[in-house]
Amino acid sequence: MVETLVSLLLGFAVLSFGWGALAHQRTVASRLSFEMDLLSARRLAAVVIGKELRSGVRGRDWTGPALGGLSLRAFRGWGPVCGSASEGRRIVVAYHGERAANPVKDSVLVLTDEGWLRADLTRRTPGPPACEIDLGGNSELWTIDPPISGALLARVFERGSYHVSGGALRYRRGRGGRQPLTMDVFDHDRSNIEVRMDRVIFHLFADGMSGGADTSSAVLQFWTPRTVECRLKNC
Amino acid sequence: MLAVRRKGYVLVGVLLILLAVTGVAHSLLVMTRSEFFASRARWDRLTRRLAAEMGLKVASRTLTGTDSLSWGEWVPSGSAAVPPRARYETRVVRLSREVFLILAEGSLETEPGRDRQVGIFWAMDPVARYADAWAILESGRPAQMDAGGAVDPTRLRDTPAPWPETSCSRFSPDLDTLFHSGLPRQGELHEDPRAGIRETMGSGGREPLLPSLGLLGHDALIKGSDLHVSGSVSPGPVQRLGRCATSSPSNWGAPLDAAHPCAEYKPVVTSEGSLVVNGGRGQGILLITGDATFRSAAHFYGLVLVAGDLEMTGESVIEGLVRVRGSVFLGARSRIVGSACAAMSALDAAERLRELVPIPQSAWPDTH
Repeated sequence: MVETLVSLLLGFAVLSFGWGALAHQRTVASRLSFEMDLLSARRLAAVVIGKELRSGVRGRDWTGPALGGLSLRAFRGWGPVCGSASEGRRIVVAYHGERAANPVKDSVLVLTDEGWLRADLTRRTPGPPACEIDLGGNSELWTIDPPISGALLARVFERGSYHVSGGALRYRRGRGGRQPLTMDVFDHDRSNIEVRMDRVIFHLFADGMSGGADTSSAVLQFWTPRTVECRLKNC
Repeated sequence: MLAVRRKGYVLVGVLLILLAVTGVAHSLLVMTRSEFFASRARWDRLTRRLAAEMGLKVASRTLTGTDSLSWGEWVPSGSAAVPPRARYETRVVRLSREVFLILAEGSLETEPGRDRQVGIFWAMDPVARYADAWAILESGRPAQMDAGGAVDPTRLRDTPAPWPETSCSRFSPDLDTLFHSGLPRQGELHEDPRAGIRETMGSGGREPLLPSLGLLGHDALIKGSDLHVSGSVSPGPVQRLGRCATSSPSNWGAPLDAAHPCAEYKPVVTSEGSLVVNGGRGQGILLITGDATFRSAAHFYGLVLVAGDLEMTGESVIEGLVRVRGSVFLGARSRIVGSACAAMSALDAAERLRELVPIPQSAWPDTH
């Protein structure tokens, strides 16, 4: 009788302790999983936004101050101009890009000896191999409007904007819908994007309801190149 | 005798809990490892990117004097290992006379994958600068001339008298490709003594700024100077132990003596403030941020950029091209003799002004 009581008590104690440990482990694992998603989302934001901002120029390709979103020219490819015809209306480009240039949604910035000029990309077809030297890329014949004579190099861009909404970092191409780039891990009310004259700041607060601590926040600051140069030279 | 069956609930329970805890620990381990690998991949990518950016900077710094590249040439410009385990390779192509594209690839010695950076740079080219603004005298306000003072356009394509014929002959093929039917309005220049004068230069704003040379503005021009002078100078060649004394502020080369050690010395001379050139002779590029005065028999060969006014008196002569933000006065016996050769050879000799400079914000990651 005594043995039975002792073993029952012991068994109850072990099971109770084990159950508590399991429950706690489950909470910890859930929290860790959320933290990992949060880290991944922040890392992705840093990589994507860093690349977009390094590709452009403040004032020309993105402007500030603004609060709530980052609207910019998102560059998607480039190519040296190997030939032109029709007084600069058609150019042959050795195109390098993360995707093919699309006349429906893309425009081009064209470099001449006078500087950068903007034009619409109205047509794109495979072009003759016009480059005398191997520059790599795909040879393409582009029709641009207005024509630009003396084109040396072209860059393809689309209009886009980045937002933090619905708990995720989202990208909106042109006037389309906002597509999520990360999981829903940010606090919708407190997270935002602030575009200043000298930098872009991402305030990314963890969503407390999803397991993140209220204090878990990250501020990603993307300084413009000139500002970085000035900070280094103390100007 | 009946066997007694004992039931080990506790043991089974402990084993189940251990199994569950092991599962949780394993999942934590997997998450930690994936986070570790993600961080390492990011670190590797950052290292590759920094190596590529370093390649871009090194190539742009080392590629001075752009004559080594013909138009459209696509050549490797350098590669190096960046300790401890990254390396970069660069290639450069000349897109036009003054615009260069540099492609830099960063990689790791132990891991596959490359990160590419593209940079667009500009370097001053004498022929392009001349073709861009070939007027002999360009000023912000009308030029005043006494009777006898003149802007002489008749020797624009000639080599200045004391210089060997070979000094500027190498520019001719390039000029011929830019001006297929000869220099613009050269025939008119002979007929109209003011045809080589343009009075269209902007004032440069509230601060007196030097006329720019392409992308080289006031600060960049001064930064590229070899000598700094002020007040009044009578320049003349200086040699020590048979060598040209390039540290002497009054040594502006020896334009009239082909055998002198300073015959090929064509410095970029800056005066931060007004300057009086009181006789003497020199050659090169003269940058004056205030007013410039040439007196008595001062004789200068090359390019003169003045942020203020220019006054020439006595028998002073400038052979080359002149750019003045303010007004110009030429006395009765003073002359500006137009000479593309003198100006282009001075620009050609100014190596520090011919370094590659990034076209503003024209470097980007190539992510294809």
